Amino acid sequence: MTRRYGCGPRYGRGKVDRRIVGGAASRHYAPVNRRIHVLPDHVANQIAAGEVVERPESVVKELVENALDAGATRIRIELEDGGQRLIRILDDGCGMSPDDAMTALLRHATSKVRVADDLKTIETLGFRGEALPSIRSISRFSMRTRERGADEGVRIVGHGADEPIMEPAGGPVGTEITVEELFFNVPARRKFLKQSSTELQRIRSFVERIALGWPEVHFTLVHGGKTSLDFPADGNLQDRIISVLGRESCKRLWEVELTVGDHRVTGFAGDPGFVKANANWIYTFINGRFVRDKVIQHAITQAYSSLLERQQFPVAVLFLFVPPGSVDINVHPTKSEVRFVESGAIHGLVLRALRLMLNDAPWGLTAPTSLPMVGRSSPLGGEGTSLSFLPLLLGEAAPQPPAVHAPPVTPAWTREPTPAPRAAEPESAPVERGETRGQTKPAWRCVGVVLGRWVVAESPDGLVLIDGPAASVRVMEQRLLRGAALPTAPAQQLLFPEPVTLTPREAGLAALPVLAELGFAVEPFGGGDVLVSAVPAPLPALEPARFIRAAVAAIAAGRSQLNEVARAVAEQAAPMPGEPLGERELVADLATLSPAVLSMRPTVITSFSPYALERLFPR
Amino acid sequence: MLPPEPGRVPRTEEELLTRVRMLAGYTIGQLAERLGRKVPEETRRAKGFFGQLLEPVLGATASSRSTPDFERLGVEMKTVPMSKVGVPLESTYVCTVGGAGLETRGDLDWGTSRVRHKLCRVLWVPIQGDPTIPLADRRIGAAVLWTPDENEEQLLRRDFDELMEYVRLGRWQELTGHLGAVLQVRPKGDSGGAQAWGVDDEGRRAKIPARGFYLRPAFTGGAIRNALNRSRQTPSA
Repeated sequence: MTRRYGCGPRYGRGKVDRRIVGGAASRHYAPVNRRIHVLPDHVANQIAAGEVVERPESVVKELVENALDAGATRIRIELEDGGQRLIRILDDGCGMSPDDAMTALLRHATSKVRVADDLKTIETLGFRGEALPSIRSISRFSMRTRERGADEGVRIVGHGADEPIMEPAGGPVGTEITVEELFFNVPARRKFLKQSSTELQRIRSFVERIALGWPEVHFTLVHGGKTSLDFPADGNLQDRIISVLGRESCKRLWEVELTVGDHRVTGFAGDPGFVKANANWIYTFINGRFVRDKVIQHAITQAYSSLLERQQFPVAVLFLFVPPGSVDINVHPTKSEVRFVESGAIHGLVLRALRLMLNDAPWGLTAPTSLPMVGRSSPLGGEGTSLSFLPLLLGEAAPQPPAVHAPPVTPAWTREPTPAPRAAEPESAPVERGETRGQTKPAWRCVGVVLGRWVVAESPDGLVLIDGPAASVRVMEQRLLRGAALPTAPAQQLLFPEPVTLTPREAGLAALPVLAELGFAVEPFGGGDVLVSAVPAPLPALEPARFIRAAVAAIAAGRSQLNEVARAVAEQAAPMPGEPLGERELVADLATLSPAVLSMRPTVITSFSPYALERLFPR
Repeated sequence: MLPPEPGRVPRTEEELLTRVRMLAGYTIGQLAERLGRKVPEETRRAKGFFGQLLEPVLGATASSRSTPDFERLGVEMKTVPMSKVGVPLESTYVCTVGGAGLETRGDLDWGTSRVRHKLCRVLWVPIQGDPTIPLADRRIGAAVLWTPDENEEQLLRRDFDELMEYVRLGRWQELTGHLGAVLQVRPKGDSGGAQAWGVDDEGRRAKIPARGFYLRPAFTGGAIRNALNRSRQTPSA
């Protein structure tokens, strides 16, 4: 038997393919009289592992899906060296009995399918019964499990082809699977693994994907002893999307929902200005299972086709719910591909849902303040069709329910960038920043904001009422003065030095040392212009011209002392009416100021002792 | 004030830095007018325009050759379109990948590669990249000189080794822009479908789409931030 070469395209015009056929190659393929036999289990498992376990991510995927099928609410993934040295998955699912645990290591052993018809109505993530034996056959494998209600659990150890050994073991309800030295007995496969950072990145991507599909489950990913990802159980898709995609991204996502017959699509999709260079930000789930499906992908791209340029892809997190019988997930061992019985209907559903959102959402306009606008009928008026135009992120606090007092929301690509909202923190958490600055002041606690201006706080001495904007000026002024007291005021160099046009007189005032003392770097730029290349560190760096003009105006008006100029600049940095006050930080900063500074004119703060409060309410 | 005129070849890094910092705050339009050049109307046609504009003013010598822009100083200049908050808006081209005589040029090994050679000393020049600002009105930012620190070089080398594994085996189809944490290989932005000689997956010489090494924006942004921080600690900078 000879092997044919040269079937592919030929390179090099007019050259003759001189490679030798036959010879050594033909000896290799010489017929051998061997008997056909059934492969031993461990060899069959290794062959199956070739498909199921391609890299550490595959192991994590299979084991996490098992944990989810076991009803886990907390799943912890521990890795060493990108999963090449160690993968450990801990879950608090239902666990297994000792007999089940041993059986689970046999090929095609599963609790999820009993008869062939079950394949048509699969609702679990796994069902083939290949993962555990495949993983065990190519790693140093151990499993500890305890069934709910059992007094004790078991531990099973089995490496590669070795017979598994079972022994009693204690531990919490659930299952812990440890996979060490993946591919230790398959060196060829090990060679194909990438550097640990690449493998870790793949696993991170998987955890992010699965976390989006299961917001009610707490996922933790630990690599080398450090927490790499932590998604506490939100039970709420919006919060989970914020955790995974980030707060800024979520400002650009809009709700999608459409039901036609027994097919439903729901989720969020980005505005047309929120694009990515690849399709990695399109997350699609079918009945809770993450899939990369060409039909759905095509529908999403088509919906945005007139809005995006080539090589631009939208952002979407979409969940499709279809009857289990209308989708075949038994296409590939990794189950990332599916086949629809009616792919045209699925394509149309996704396309319509996204087009409804894109057609009706208020692009380019200021969104209404009276949110939510849930339940608007779609122009198509399909059965059960409803849309809501809720930007995913409404304000600083987590929206539960969506806050009707949220500030007006404008799609971000139509407006100037706004400062990133602060991470949501419990309002009642006491402020401890005084300690971090080496001061001994007891903590103040921010209670809240009244009428958008007055900050209410609790101090050990009683109730504190703060004029928010005025107090912000005081805090900034003191920061600037603290910096100016140092040998070199802390400054931030501007990436883009900004020319500011001034009159010649103003340009002369801008060159006075008082500005440099505060941390400004200003140099002549021809005519009356000056170039601002650095601003004091406490100031935001985006509008240096405003600060320079304020400082120069103060000096020109005769307020040229350091504290007077600092105050003029600080006034420019104070929040405008309607802007967030950052009250928790403000209270923390005020708590660090001395009583003398706090009592300076104009008044920014007033206190009520418990006695004074009692006098307000005589009994 | 008018931007400075074309200058002589700088003799020291300090001279180069002084000269480039004199450009900070000027717009591309002002500089182009000074040099008698026309600013392209489309961003797509502006590929390389910023660099071509700055080179004569700063006294660059290498033009488009594979040697560093400032040959005498061993400094490569990179203009980087950045957002107002300091995030690079596109990846940064380093050099081509693939081509005839790959092995003989020592490109397969990090130590002798053109990538390392190009990145061992870089003058980053931020340019405003906000697409809402017309090209002519975009300002030149504060330039910094950068040498990769140990950590940065390790990141670069790790990616380079992984990417060159594909090049070595001619696995061009698999060599996509998704690979590499800080360094990537992808078709050159201005290649217009150009092809270059390379090695295919059977080990034969073949025409392959021209590809280039690019730094990912996050890495470039971090490098510029690091360089800015370091320059702040140096009184002369």
